[in-house]
Amino acid sequence: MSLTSRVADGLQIVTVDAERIDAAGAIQFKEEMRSETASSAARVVLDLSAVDFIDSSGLGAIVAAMKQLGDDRRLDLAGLSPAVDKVFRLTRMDTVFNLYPSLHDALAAERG
Amino acid sequence: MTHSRLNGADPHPPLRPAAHSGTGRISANAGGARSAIRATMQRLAGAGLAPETRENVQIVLAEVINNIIEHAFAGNTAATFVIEFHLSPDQLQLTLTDRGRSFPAGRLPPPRVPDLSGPRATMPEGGFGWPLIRMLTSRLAYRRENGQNRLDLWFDLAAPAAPDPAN
Repeated sequence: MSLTSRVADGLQIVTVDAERIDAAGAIQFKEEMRSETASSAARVVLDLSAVDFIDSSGLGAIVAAMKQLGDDRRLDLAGLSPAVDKVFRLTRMDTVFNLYPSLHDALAAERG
Repeated sequence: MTHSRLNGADPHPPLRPAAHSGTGRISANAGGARSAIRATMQRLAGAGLAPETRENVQIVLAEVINNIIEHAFAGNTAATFVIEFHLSPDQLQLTLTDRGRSFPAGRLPPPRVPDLSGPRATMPEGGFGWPLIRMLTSRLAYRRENGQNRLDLWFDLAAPAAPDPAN
C-alpha cells in the first residue's frame, strides 16, 4: 500500500497508489491514512483512481479512516472504478460517503 | 474440455468433464488468496466469462476466501483449502472446500446488512462480506461433512459464455 498526499486551501488530496485494497493491505492502509491525515484539513478527498478492486476489509478500512478524522472533518471518495463503485453501492456506503467519478469532479464540487 | 490447476501445488483428482473447469489447492494466507484470485479470474476471462460477471465473481471469491482464512483457519497460515470452478454456457459454479472450523451452528451467517444510520463513531467497519456474497450470487449452499466445509456458489449467466477475442 502506498499513499501520497497534498494539501491546498484547507483541502487534502490523498492518492492511493495500489490496485487493490483488500484483506492483505487493509490494516496498513488504515495506519497510513492515520498518519497522512494527521493534518487538520477540513475536507479530505481520497483519490481511488488507481484502485481496481476493493473487498469488505478494504471497505472497513476506509470507514475506519473516516472515523479517525473525528466528527468535524469530511472524507470524500473520488475516481471509483466500476467494481469499487459496486461494492460501495451494494453495501449502502454511498449513503455515508460522497462518491465522485473523478478527482476533477470532487474538486469541482468543492468550488460549487 | 480444459482442465488445469490454478496454481502449482498438491495434486488433486481430475474433475468430471465440463465446458471449462479448474481446481487448485490454495495456502490459507493473504499471498495465497491473491494469487488464487488472480489465477481464477484469468482462467474465467480466458473461458469467455463476461466482464460484469467476472467483477461479481472476484468480489465473492475474495470474501469467501477471507472468511476461510479468518474464521475456518483463524490465522493458521500453513493450512490449505481447495477452489474448483465449473463453467457451463448458462451457469458458473464455484466450490470451496476446507478442513477448518465449521460455521457457528453449522449454518451460514444471516444476510443482514449492517446498520449505517448511527453516528459516525459507531459506523460498522465489518459485517459486509456475507451480504455482498448473497447479493452477488444466484444461489449458495453450505454443508459440513466428514470434518470438511463445502461451500457451493452459483452464478446464473445472462448470456452464454463465449471466447473473448481479447484473451
